[in-house]
Amino acid sequence: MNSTFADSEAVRQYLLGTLPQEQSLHIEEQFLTSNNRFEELLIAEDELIDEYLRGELSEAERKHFTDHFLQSPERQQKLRFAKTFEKYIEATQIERPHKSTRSISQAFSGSSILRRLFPLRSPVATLSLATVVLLLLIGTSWVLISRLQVQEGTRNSLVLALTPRLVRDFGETSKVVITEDVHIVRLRLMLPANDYQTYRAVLRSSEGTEIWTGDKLIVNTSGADRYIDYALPAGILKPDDYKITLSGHLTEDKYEDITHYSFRVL
Amino acid sequence: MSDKWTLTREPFDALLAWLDPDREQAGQKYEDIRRRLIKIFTCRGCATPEDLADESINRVVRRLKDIEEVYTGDRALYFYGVANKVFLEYLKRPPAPAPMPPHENPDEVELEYVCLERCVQHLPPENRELVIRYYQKEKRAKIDERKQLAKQLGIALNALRIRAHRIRVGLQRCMQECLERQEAS
Repeated sequence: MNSTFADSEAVRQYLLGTLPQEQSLHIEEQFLTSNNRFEELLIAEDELIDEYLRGELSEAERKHFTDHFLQSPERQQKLRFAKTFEKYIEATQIERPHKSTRSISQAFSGSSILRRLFPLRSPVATLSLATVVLLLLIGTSWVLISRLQVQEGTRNSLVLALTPRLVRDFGETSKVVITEDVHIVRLRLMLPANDYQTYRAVLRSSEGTEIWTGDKLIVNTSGADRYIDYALPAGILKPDDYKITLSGHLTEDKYEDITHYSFRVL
Repeated sequence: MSDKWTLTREPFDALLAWLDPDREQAGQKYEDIRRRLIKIFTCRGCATPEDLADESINRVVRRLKDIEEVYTGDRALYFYGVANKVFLEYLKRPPAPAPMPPHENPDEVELEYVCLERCVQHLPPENRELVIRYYQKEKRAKIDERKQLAKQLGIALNALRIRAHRIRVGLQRCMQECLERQEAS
């Protein structure tokens, strides 16, 4: 697929409905007879949608985009996907940045969490306040490991990192309050080792009812940390005690139970 | 576009035979032509691109006996010529009302996100890394990141662009299937 700038610009104008008819007919013939040119058209469609979402279109282009381009239900669906995809990429940059920016361990390091939770200018004040709050937390047996609130339009995400060891250390079940503004709860299951290619996590209520199953889950690593991210719609987590059984995939449909995690939604 | 004539087995087989002697190849060509006609009608702002594409195909099938011996060019372009006539007729009709923009339900948005996240999780690690790195960041940083990524993979920027797009298309399909499964359950 050898696309020149002139070609790309023509495709872009074609999509916006502003390419002269003669050129449009020529370009359409190419779309119909060349796989590469047709794929180029599909790519250009997605790129145009991304530019629209990032506010990179001129005023005139924006008008053509909404009045012409977006008239098709298929493209409206593409736009919806692009919005979700953009949110995901943004969240990934915040939560799981690329090596060249900052690592997940840095993102969840003690100082980083303190700064996020207690955004005071003085480190001493931050530390003192943090100590008081930490004692209160322990006193009330709240083990909310991390709360990373990611404001993304209508969606707030709550990250609950769970480690079996930590739960045992405190002798308590992790407790969490899911406020109304939280739409996604992301369970981060910390792993002691990574011995399987994929994992299954089954979430059950206190009555043993299966609430959610995450299959073919893959381990994320960052430095020495290994964890599985497991996102749920917040709406399914009513106040109750929950237990997650994590299993490693052996063969075919065989799984081996590895460990359990538990938490309470208040 | 209401055309009462419907494509039945026999003329459809004849169409496939005209497109390619190998039936599997012919089926692929048929799908490609239909998909591209739909896209062209969409790009022209037609409200019913699928119907117009099917109407174009039906007309070709009906003329098949007259053209199969004499037409020598690219088959797809014959469909294109017919599609242009169908389009001109479409323009003479009263315009269809513009579709309502879809209402965004926060619950659906939330579910879409969860589905997408799962789909990304199921990608092979190298594809996951590629698609996240390709689409992350803004403007200059994005360009630099893509150059670096292409260099790491030992491929040209345009090849990277195609690869990232194919993964993205797969993710969109996966998310859609996930949503449909959720709806069904």
